[in-house]
Amino acid sequence: MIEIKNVTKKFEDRPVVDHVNLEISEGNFFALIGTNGAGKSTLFRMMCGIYRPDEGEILIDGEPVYDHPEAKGKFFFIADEPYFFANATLKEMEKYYRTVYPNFDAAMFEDYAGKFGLELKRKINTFSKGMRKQAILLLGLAAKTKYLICDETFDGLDPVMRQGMKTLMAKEMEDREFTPILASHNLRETEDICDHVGLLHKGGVLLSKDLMDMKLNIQKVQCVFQEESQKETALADLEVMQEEKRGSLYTFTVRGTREEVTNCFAQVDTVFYEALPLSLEEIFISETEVVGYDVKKLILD
Amino acid sequence: MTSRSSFWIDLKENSKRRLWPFAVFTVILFFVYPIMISMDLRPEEIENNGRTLLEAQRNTTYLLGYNPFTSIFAIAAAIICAVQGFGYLYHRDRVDMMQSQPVSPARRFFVIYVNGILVYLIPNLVMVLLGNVVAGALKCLSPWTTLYSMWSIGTGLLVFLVVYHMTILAVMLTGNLIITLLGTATFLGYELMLRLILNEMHSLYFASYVTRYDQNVFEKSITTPFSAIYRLHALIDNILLVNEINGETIWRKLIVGTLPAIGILLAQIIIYFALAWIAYRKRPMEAAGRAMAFEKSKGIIKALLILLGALVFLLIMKSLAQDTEVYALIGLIAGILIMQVLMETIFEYDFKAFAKRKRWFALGAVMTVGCYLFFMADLSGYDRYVPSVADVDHVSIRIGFQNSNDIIYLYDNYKDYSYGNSYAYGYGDRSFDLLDEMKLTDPGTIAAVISLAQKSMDGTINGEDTDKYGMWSTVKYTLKNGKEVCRALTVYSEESEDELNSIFADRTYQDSYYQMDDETIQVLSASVDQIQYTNGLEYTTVNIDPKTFQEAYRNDLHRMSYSSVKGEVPIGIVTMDIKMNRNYITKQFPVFETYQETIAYLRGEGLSLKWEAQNIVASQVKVINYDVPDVEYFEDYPSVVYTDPVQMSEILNACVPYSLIYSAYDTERFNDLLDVEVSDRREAVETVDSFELIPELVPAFVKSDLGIE
Repeated sequence: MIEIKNVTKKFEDRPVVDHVNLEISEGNFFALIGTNGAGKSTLFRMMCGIYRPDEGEILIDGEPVYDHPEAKGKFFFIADEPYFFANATLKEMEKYYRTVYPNFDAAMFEDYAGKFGLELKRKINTFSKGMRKQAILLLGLAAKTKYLICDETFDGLDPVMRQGMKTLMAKEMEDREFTPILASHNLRETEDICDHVGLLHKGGVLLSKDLMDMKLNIQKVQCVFQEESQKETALADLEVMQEEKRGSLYTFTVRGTREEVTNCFAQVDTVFYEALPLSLEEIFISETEVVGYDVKKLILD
Repeated sequence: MTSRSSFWIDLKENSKRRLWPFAVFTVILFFVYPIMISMDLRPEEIENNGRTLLEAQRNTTYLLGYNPFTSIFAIAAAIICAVQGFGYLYHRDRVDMMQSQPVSPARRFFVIYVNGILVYLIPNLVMVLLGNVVAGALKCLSPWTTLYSMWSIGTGLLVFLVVYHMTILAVMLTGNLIITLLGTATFLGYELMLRLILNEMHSLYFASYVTRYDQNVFEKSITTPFSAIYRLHALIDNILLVNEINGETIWRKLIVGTLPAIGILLAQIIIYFALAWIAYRKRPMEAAGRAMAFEKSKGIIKALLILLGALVFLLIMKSLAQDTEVYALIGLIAGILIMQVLMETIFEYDFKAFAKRKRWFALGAVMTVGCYLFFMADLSGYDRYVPSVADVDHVSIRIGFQNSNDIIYLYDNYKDYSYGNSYAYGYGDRSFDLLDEMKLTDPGTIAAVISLAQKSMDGTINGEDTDKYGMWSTVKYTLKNGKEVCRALTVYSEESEDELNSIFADRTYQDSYYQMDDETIQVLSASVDQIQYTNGLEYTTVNIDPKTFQEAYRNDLHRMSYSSVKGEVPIGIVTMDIKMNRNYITKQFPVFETYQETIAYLRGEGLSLKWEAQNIVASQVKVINYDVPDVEYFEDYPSVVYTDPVQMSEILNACVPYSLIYSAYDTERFNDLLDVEVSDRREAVETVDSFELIPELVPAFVKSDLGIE
């Protein structure tokens, strides 16, 4: 487990990460989402022991990470701009990482590199941006660390490659104790793979929840009432998070399971009602509005 | 789970990214050592230059040993290795990669650190050994040369390590290459620059300030390796100049002699390493790409550089405005402001940030103005310092007599370049060698010297020196508390005859001034190659016993007084050519009318001691008047040519040969204004003798012809 305890980081007296508390459990695919400048990368750098927190502490499996190689050995960090040695080939980078990560699986790496069409003896500086991202992801997976921390790593991958990488990660999660941690400002990209989400905004964590729990407990209902008085009856036992009306069509976002919600609307003789699944983006918009943030303006993707 | 690979595997892995400096160093050193030596030692080259095998071996020793190239290469290589190794800290992507890996900070540091040293050391070692092999194949190598070349690699490594640590510190304190290089230059040059500026300020504002050559900024600096480098080069040059490299010189002179310099280097290596290590451990990794890594360091660096920069501006403005103080002040204020703007613009990459960190700006400004006032208003009383007789243990004084340069020339050559005390003498200033040698302990002499200093201070400080004839002199007081104080002073001979007589009566003064203690006479006499005597016109090689002559001369010196030679021109000069340490040096002994024992000895040897006007064969005498203002060209000075034998004879009887004037003590009466050129145009080759007219004897017809009163 990665524990982030009351961590603060300031740049020139401006808090970039502000008293953040977060826990990332093992076996989850964790996505840290937030707007540009929300502090995702800075938080990741502190999680990886690159930056020293001004306050608080970060523990990886109970060990502090800063200046602790034992803790650092449990993750592989892929920065938003991964670095490869000048003029290095993929093979040379593989050799290098073999000296750094003792469990590095060279056979697996070479196998996947072949499948992804990455030539081992080609200089990496001749790779496209997407190929470089593939290369570093494969190196990260082959390092066989417990955690793989990726900062906006899927940006730049085409949909096929993105899917391929996600499949690889899912396989790793099946095969061994593996926890991918992803930072992104693209909610749609992370929605279909992550199972735990943290939302970071202006240096603070707005929420951190299991995605399935959130999805199961929030419903979007579209409804046309015969009479306005039916609305109060239908919503009497529900917590309405969001309400919108266009002509006679109401759209509600309400908390509760699908069954609970449909039962409430079924008891009223509506012209029409339908419970719709919520996207991650919609969940977050709703959740953040509840706590007073106008996320619509913030999360644009 | 940390990386299990060994330190050596990490070292090997890191070395793959250190290849280009390794290759560059190897190529450079290949040309410097094996190629250069093979070119220099080709048999035909040795033959063409007429060199002996011994000289060729000596040259091999120089080429393979510690020489200026060693220092320059070590400094340049150190900067390259440090920046190339630790430069990853400038780039966020590289920092992300390196710092997130399971490698301890110490291991990461030492892998890069050790590789940097190896990149420098391995090519050096290989190429110097190859140079030895080449020299050996050409039969110009001794085992001592090989040993010396290995010692030189070690010494070069120490210089490398100082600058290497210094540059690593600069890397840790900064966030990009340009600022690192500026930082390294600051570390290397700040103290030197400050010392130079303060020397210049002393020189500009203190009339009694005197620069000692052996107190130069390079030798005295403690924060840079240049002090040690200077000492090493001075000592090694001297050893190579006077000695062959052999077991004795290697162990006693070289190794023991260079211990102080090595000690300085070791101390600097330790201190800069400690600072670099602390900075490495404290460095915030988010500093990549910024100007400075530590916010707190900006203020102090700015304040220190404001001090330095503003004083430079002050000096520039002062020199441009011919020492006008108003312009110096303008330069000072402009310098403070410019440095503030410059430093903040560099720190923040933003010109608009010029007003940041006002408190540090204020500190820098106060330090600078304080420094300026210290000199301008002489807050320390530097120029007013004259010690009391009771405080002085002994004094030494170099009075700026006309003959002083020729007389004391010997000092810097006579020195034995033995270990432990002599590194600076090869570059020494003979004035200060004299001051260091002379020890006047007689209370009367001390009182006389202090009286001269007091009169000088009255003249220079209180402005009483207008139109007085003075001789620029230097004095060193060694106080009873052990402190040494050097000051310049002007000796006003007209009003200081009593003091000068007291000083001249001190035998120690005479023996030191002429280097005539028993031991020196003994040593020099044994080394005399040739002795000449001149009466100002004729030069005769003489066959006299140098020791007997010098003893007679010293007896005359002990009997003389200043009054007896004041304004007098010697009747002749004895010149000894002495071979010392492969060099020929010349020592002069002006013979005055009052030196009876010397004259008797020389006369006994059958010498024609004085020049006689009637012996001069001349077809014309030309008198030139230089006392004419605003003459642009030398040939435009008014002159009259006399061919009448009577007039020529009268003129010559009122003359002294020019060459004798420079060996007089005090030439106030000769003002260099009426020169006489005597020539014989009847000869196939025209000869010209130069004289000067004695002012009080100038014939009336000459005055009339030249319109002189």
